[in-house]
Amino acid sequence: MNPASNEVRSLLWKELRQLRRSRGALASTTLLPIFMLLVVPFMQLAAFRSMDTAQIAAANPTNQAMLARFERPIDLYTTLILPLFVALTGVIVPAVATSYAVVTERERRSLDLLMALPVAVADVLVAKVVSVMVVAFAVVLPLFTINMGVMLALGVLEPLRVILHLMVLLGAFTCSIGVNFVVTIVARDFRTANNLSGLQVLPAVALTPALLLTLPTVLGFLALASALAAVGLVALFIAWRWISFERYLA
Amino acid sequence: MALAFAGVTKRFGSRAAALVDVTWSIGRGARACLLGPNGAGKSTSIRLLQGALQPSSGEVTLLGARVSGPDYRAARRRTGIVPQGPGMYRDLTTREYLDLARRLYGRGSVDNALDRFGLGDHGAKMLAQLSGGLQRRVSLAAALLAEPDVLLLDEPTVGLDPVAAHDVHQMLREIMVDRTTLLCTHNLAEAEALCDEVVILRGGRVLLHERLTVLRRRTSPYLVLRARQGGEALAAALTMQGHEASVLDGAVRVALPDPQDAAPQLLRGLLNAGFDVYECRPGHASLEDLFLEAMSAGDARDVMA
Repeated sequence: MNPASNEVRSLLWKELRQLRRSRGALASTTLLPIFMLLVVPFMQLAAFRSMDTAQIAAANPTNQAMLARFERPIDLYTTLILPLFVALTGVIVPAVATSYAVVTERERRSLDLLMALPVAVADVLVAKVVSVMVVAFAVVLPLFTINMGVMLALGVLEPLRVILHLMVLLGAFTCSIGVNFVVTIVARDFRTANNLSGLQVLPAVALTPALLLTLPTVLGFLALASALAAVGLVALFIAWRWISFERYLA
Repeated sequence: MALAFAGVTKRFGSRAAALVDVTWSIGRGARACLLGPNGAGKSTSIRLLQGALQPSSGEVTLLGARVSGPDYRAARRRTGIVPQGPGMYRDLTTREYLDLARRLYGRGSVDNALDRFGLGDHGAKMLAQLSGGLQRRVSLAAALLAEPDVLLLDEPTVGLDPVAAHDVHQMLREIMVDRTTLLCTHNLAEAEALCDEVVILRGGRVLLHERLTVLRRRTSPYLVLRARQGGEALAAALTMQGHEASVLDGAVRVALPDPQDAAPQLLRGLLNAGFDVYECRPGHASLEDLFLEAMSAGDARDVMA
């Protein structure tokens, strides 16, 4: 199977046209990252800049040891809060597009119409993965760039941290696409897929504090990005080995 | 062979096998219909041919290429498929879907397809907005766009109103000429009108595979007669004359080796005997008769087994 084959390119053309016309999917994939990459992080930034360490320690009496490494509240923000929002955005945005691309095709039985054309299941799924990646990148990367640009301009982040956040974002994308493929193929309908998709924020929510608060900063970011990507790649591998037209059509 | 099943068994998990050691094939240029009651394995057979399913055992080939083999993709590009009542895209226009078909087949003209199937005014409409008849035309247009050598038609008129079904039949008559066609249908009249070879499946096994002309030769031709005196009186008179006559819906069927030759004399005799005969025509076993006969034979075999 060649990802650049005529079949995959043709199907990608179809997927992008359909995603462009889906107002619901587009609204969700646009509004959510605006909220998660611009509105909330900047509000949180303002709050953290106005706090002192004692206030944070008082608010988290059970996590004193863990918080002790942060000299300033803003360090906690840049080491945990901001990367958490970046990871969550990277996980959630592709989930919406994946659900739309994979489940609606089966739910509306248009997959039968697609199958009547000379395509293989691998072509269909690769085109869907690529289309979701294109949409996710097109929507999230500009917002991420604005966020990081503002953080750099305010002196909150240095360039290395921007690169580390970008790696976390890419890892989260991979995690989301892989996990969602399994979820949407297992799910019998769009509602179930969306409900199950909610579960896939768990790796981001669990891994982000576990790795960033326990490992040295750079290593923590690298481990988080790698772990998220690994979850996604394992899920994609499972999907690849597991899925045939038979299962997808069932 | 254009299509072939060699010892094919298809199982879905722990359920009973949809196909059991099935072997049949049709040659290039043949127009075959695949018949059978619900659950006989017809749609499974079509899906195996289109590569959507893989056989549990045995081998399915399309234009000489194994479905799981490297040459299948090329064979598939020479095959047009009309699926059974598929869902239609709400976010893809007729022209876009046909353009997708053109890209995937690597040849064909969307404009020609739109003109040929009377879809010129509907190119910009979303597929889901079209009527059932027009949607079926789109499926046919996509299947025929690349002028394929083989056509697989899965219940092409199911769910259509009589006018739309007639419309599709007219199109099928034109497009099936010089093409290997496998028509999967429940509609026996449709199969009889469009095909010259029949494969009957039952319970996942091949019950019968024969040319229609051969099947008809195996059954006796007959003469159908109606008289004002009624079927029973007419049949009694014919039986008295030594004919084998049966009554069906008020008409009398008389089995004769050559109905056309025998009809004038038989008719004269009846008129002279005072019967007001107002219908007299030769007939032969319809596909429905043959299908029911095959099913009965299958029942008998099942009982014997």
